[in-house]
Amino acid sequence: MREKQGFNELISYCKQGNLRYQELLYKQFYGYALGICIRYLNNRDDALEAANDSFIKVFKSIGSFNEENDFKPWFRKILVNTSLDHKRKSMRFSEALELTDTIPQTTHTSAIDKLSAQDILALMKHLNELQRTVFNLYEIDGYSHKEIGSMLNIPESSSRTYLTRAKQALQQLLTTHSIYTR
Amino acid sequence: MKASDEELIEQIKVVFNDYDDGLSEQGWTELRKKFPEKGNKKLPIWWLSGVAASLLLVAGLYFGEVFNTEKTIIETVNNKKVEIPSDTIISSPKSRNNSTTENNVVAIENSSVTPKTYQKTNKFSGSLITEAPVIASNIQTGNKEPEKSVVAPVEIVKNPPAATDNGNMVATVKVENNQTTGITQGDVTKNTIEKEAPSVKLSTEEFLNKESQKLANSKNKNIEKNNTSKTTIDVFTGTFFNYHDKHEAKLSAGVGLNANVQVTKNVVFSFGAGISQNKVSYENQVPTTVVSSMFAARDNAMSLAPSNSVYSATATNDVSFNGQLLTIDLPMAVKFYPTKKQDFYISTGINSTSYLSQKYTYNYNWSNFEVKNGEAQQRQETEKSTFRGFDFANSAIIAIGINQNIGRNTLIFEPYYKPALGTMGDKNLRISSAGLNLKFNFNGAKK
Repeated sequence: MREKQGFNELISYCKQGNLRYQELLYKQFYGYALGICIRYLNNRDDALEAANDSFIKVFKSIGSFNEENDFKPWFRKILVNTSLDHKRKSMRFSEALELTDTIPQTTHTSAIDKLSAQDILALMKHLNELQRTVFNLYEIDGYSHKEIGSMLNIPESSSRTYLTRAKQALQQLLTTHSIYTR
Repeated sequence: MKASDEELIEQIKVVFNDYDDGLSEQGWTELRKKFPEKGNKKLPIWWLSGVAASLLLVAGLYFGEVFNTEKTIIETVNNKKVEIPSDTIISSPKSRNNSTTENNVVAIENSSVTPKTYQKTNKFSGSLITEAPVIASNIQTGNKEPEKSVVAPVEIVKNPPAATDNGNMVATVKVENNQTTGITQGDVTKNTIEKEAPSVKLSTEEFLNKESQKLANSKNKNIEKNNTSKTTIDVFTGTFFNYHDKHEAKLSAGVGLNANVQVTKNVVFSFGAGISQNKVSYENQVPTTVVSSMFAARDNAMSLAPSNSVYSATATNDVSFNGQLLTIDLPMAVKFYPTKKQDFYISTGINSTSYLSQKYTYNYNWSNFEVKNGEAQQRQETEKSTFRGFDFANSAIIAIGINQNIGRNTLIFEPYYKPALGTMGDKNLRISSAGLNLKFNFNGAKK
């Protein structure tokens, strides 16, 4: 309860444009923001740029944020949308790596729950952009296929297809390379 | 979904939920390149507007004839707050024993005294002096003023009545056993005048307890206010133009206070009081409500003419009429904040007016064949009244407020329009006005 009050006070100061409190908010949610952006952009520098742009959007529009709601879901939407915008701008729809390409040595860990962020990012590189984006949107960030369809301007059915393929590819990666060895 | 899928998804959520590479400081530096603090750039423009409005206000008041022609003497009584915590009362048996003065009067400077309790040795008598925060005031009837607070062993003081004299608070303290430890520079006791309140006499202890109680109550009230109140206070200055059909618009000014009470999240009830100076000027077209008064003034002027004047030859032309009203405005309005950000509001309400002073001046030319061969002469008649009249809801309020945050407080620019719903003053002038209020909103309570 006290933590919530403290956070509301932080938001209140940010609404007033207080730079010191904006910095506090930034540092408190830096990891959260970077974690989301890097899943979509697969690159630390791009992810930082998207995260920072998201923070700027937050600072500019925080007046419309209602403190009674949770901050994270609101911020998450901004982060996801900004990451997708960056992806569109950069036009980097890189082809997925062949499955035969080398999986980073770090993925030789014996169980999935030991996978590090770098391992997961390395796995994700083997998915194509749309597969990875749909996988992230649906499975990690909880969007529906309908929402994904409108966000990526693709039919809802295509979203399902990309998700299925993404999962198949990940499954294949895990088994082929003995990542999942329980 | 396969178990491995679920595990992988769960692992991704765990790992990326707080992906901190420890470079948040660097990230913030990067962000600051794109996101400079914009407050510093904006504020000077707002402040300049504020200063300009204030200057207009001062100029308006300075040049107002109300202040030039009618001097009002306002007597103010300086009642300064005295703070005496009860726990500072101490007694000093030694000082009682070594005291020599009888029925000494204790005088301390008029300004509030910070309670201090300490002891020192009286170098004249060698007695131990207890300096207690007993408060009195400068008594300026003597040639000498006590330069130092006088010490009194509060415990033994019985009759310290407080009274006011010429705005200065005077407290006298009598010592029960004819002993006191009062020390002032020089012989203060000779130059002090004892004055006692004729009716209410409190013992020092009662007096101190009462003051302490007041302090405690006021502190409690403040705490309660901070915790529960959703009320804020605006101080505002305004500059505006009064207008009416066919009359010259004149710049006027006002100042006042508003209280804002939050009704719902987006709706605030605002009420307050302000003093404003309203000027109207009519050239050639005198309002019908004023004509009768003006002709009465003219007739009065003519009656002063020689008895054999040919009144029938008297005529008026080139008439003009000026009104100056110093009013107390009592606005009541509802503010609606349409956006969640609450950076602006729309306000509507009514304004009632009471009149501190009214001054009406009629200027006209008249001619009489008996005077200067009928040559036109300029005449001016003036009517004045003070503290007369109250017009309820004589104008509506329509305003838009734009908020600019300054720390916890807010600077508000409020352009407004006040269409006349009724008339103003003794002459029933129907005046509308439009102007700009500059408001400073104090918001002490934390959200």
